[in-house]
Amino acid sequence: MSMVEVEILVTLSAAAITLALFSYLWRENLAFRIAEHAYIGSAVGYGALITAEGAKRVLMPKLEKGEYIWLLTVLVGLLYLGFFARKWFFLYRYPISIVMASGMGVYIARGVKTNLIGHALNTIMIKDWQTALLAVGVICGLFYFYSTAEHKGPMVYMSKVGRWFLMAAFGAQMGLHVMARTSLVIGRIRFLLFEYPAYYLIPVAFILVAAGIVWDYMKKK
Amino acid sequence: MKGGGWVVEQRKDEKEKSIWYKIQSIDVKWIYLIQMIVISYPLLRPIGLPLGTISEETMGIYNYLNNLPEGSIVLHCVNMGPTAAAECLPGLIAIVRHNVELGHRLIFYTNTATGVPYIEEAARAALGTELRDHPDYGTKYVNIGYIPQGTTGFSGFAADIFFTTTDAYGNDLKTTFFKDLPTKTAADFDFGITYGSGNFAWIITYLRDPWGVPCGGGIAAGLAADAYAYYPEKTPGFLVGLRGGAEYELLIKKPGLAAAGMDAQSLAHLSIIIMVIIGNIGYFAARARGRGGE
Repeated sequence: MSMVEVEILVTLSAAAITLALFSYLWRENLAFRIAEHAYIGSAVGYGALITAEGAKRVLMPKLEKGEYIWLLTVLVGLLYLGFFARKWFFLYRYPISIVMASGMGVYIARGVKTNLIGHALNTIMIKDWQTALLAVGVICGLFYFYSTAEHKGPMVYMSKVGRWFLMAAFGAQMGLHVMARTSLVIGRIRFLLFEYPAYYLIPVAFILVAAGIVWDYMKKK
Repeated sequence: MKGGGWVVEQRKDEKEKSIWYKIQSIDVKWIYLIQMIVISYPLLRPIGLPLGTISEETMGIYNYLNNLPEGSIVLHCVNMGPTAAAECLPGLIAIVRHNVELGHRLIFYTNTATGVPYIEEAARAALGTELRDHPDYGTKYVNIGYIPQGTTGFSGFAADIFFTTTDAYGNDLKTTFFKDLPTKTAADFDFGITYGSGNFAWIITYLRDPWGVPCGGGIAAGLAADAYAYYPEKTPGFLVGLRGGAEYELLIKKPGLAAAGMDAQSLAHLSIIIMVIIGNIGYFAARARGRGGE
């Protein structure tokens, strides 16, 4: 099989999987389920392979230098396999706790400074009306979640203002998410419309969905 | 009780028959179909809707890169997967093109397994050849590739550039690109940019703050709200989704995938706004009628 034939086959498979996943918009069906499982399976396989290669790149230079102590990391990694046997399940907790602990250690050392102290400092340093508004939003937003004492007097107004700020933030977040999802659809539709020979599958998909709709209708009758 | 129940049922039927109720409960399949048509049409026949003013954040990152001296080292962290590529890849290609024009030295890196092919795709689009086959590979451009364990892996790389000793293609890192760097740590970089749907905070937390490297981003629109918390104090700017990519393409005068997709993006938003308005008209009209009936 030549390179061109392989590329055509890859494009056709990508188009078929895209259309099969889009078919969920009509209803759950066999094509969607096949595509869903193929997608998850290939993603996990690809991720495992690339991660193993990356781990090898980090580990091999150390072993070549004679630092065999690093082989311990491979042993710890192998403990993950304990997940598959009830008897050895407890072993699975060791690599998990090591990864969690190292991640937390790295984050606490860096993250607290940037994301807690940094944000708090920037919030209280009022420079103009925008930063003042931000400070009001943060303080009132925090009051909305304050449940230790009953909301009475000025606290009622503060938590109400906080709620408005939260709703504005959620609205902005929602708008941005719509923009992001639309971009995804644009990417897939562009692929289906312009990539040779993906567009040949569009009429096939339409015929299949139409046949499915007619089949549903007949069954109902 | 029985009679009362019947009246309630009858009212419910009448309510379900009313146009205002139907407007609120249009079958989502029709909405999907409308969206598909609205997105496909401008892709097939571009309308050329204006993009409007270029945002401050896009101008910020563009100006910052423009003002860096030739030969500055820019780290591109391509942390994207298929879920973000449609909106972030055009921005990545535009920024890499701009950097190549300015003569900056580029390092490509990813902390997600899915980022690997996008490094190659962006380099191919900006350089015209495969990254490893480019004559300046190893002197002006280098691909570190994927280092596992996310930010922990990145911290290792930032503290010691020779953490992996080889690049993504197995070449020795000590030979060319990093030869003249004084500290051989991330402190030698002049700018860092993260792309994709991972959070923006990581690059500030693990590169900007500990190593003093100014950072920007080309991020998925859904995460932009988080990035604004760092702007303008901790970042000169970032690209927000496909729109940010389109703005950058216009700034470097090379309209590409993002600019072409903006007609579809604008029309899709317009159709969503119209549907939201129609749904709200239906809701308020049905509520008003309900109150009148009571």
